[in-house]
Amino acid sequence: MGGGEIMADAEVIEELYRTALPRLCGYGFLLTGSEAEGEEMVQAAIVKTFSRWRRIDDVHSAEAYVRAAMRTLTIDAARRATRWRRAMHTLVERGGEDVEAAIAGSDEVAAAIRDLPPRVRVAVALRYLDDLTVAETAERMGLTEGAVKKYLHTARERLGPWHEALDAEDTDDDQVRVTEAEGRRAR
Amino acid sequence: MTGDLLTELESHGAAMAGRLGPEGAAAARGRIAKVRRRRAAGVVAVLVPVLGLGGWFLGTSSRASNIQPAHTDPTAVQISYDEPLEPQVQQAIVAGDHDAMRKLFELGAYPLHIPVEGQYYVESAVARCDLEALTILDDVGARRAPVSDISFDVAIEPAVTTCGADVVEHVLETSPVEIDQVEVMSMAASRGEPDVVTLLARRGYPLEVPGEWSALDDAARAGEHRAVAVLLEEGADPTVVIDGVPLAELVDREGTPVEIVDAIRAAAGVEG
Repeated sequence: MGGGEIMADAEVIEELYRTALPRLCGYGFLLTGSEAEGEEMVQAAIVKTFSRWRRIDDVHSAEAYVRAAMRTLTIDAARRATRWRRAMHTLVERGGEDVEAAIAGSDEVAAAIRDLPPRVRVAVALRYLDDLTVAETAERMGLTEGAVKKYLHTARERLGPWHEALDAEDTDDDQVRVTEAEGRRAR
Repeated sequence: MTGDLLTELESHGAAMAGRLGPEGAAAARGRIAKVRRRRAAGVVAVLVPVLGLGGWFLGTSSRASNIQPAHTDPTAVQISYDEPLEPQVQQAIVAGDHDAMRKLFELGAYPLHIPVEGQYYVESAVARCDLEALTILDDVGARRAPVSDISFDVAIEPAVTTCGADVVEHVLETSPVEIDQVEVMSMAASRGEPDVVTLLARRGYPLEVPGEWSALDDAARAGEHRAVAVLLEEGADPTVVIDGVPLAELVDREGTPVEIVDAIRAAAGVEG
C-alpha cells in the first residue's frame, strides 16, 4: 500500500482481515457473549459496511465503520428480541431453559457478558475498547452521562472480577448510582 | 475466576479470528459483491423503463426502438434425471431459470426441501428479488419457515432490506407467520428503500409506538434521509416522545446528520 494511495475495497478488506480481525472478533465477543455469534456479527458488519457505495480509504476508517455497524446490529437485535418477546410472551413464559446459554457453552466470562443488557455491552465497548470518555460514550449512544455511568456501574457489578482491571483506569464512575431518568432530568 | 475482561476478549478474539480468518475475507467479498449487484440491478430496473418512456415521449422513435423491454436470458439449467432434483431447483433459482424450476417441480422435486447447508429456496429467490421465482415457489408450497422455528419467515428480512415494493408486498401477503408490523417497519425505515416504507405506511403499518419507538428515529439513526422524508409525508409524528425524550432532542443527541435533525425539528415546530 503505498504513498497515500486510496486502496481499492478488496485491498482494504484483505488488510482488515489481516490486521484488525482479532480486535473485531474480541469486540464481537463482548457485544454478543458468544464466539459463534460474534463471528457472525463481524462478518455481517463487514458486509454491511462495504455493501454501501461509500469510499473507505484506509483500514483504520474501515475498522471504525465496522465497529459502528456491530453496535447498530447489537441494538437492532435487542429491539427485535424485545418486540418478539412481547408478541410471543405466552410461549416464552413457558420455557424455563436458557437456550442461549446452552448453545454458547459454559464459558464463565461469556455467561457474564450475556447477563448484561445489550445497551450495557455497547456502553462497555465504547468506553473500554474504543477508549471514549463517558461524555463521548453518552453522546455516541444518545444518552445522558448519568445513564452511561449507570450502564457502566451495572457492568461492573455483573462482570465482577473480570472488571477489576478496568476499574483501575476508571475512577470517575465509582459509587455512581444515577438512574437514567434522573440523568435526563438533570440535563 | 481469574483474568480481566480485556485479556479474556483478546484471547477469545484471537481464537475466533483463527477460525474466521482463512476463508472470511473471501466469503465477505462474495456477499458484498452480491448485495451490490442486487442494488445495481434495482437502479437499472428503474432507469431502463424511465429512459424507454422518455425516449418514446420525445418522439425519438429511432433511438427508442433500440430500447428493448427487460428481457430475462437465464442460463438454461440442464436438468439431469439421474441426479437429485432438489439441488437442481436451487441452481435454477440462482440462474433465474423459471422454466427449469417449473419443470423440476413437475418432475417431483420436494418443495419442503431442507438444505443441509446454504439457503432455503425462498431465501435464494428473495436474494435475487425474483418475484416470478417467488410466485412459482408459493404455488408449489415451498417452505417459508425453518423447521427450527416455524414462527419465523425467512423471506421477510431480505425482502424488506434489499428488494422493491412489489417483492415486499408479495412476501408480506403470502407470509405464513403472524407478522410483527413494528419490526418490519423498523427494518424498512433503517435499511429499506423509500418505496417500501411508503408501501408499509399505506398498508397501515405503525409509524410509532408513543413512549417507546418511532420509525423516524430508526431512519434518522441510520442516516436515511429519503426514509425520513417519506415517513414525515406519510404522517409520522415528529413530536413523539420516546423514553421521556422528545424525538427532535433524541435524534440530535444520537449524532444524526444535521440535515435530518433539522428536518425533524422543522416538522415538529421546534426552533433550532
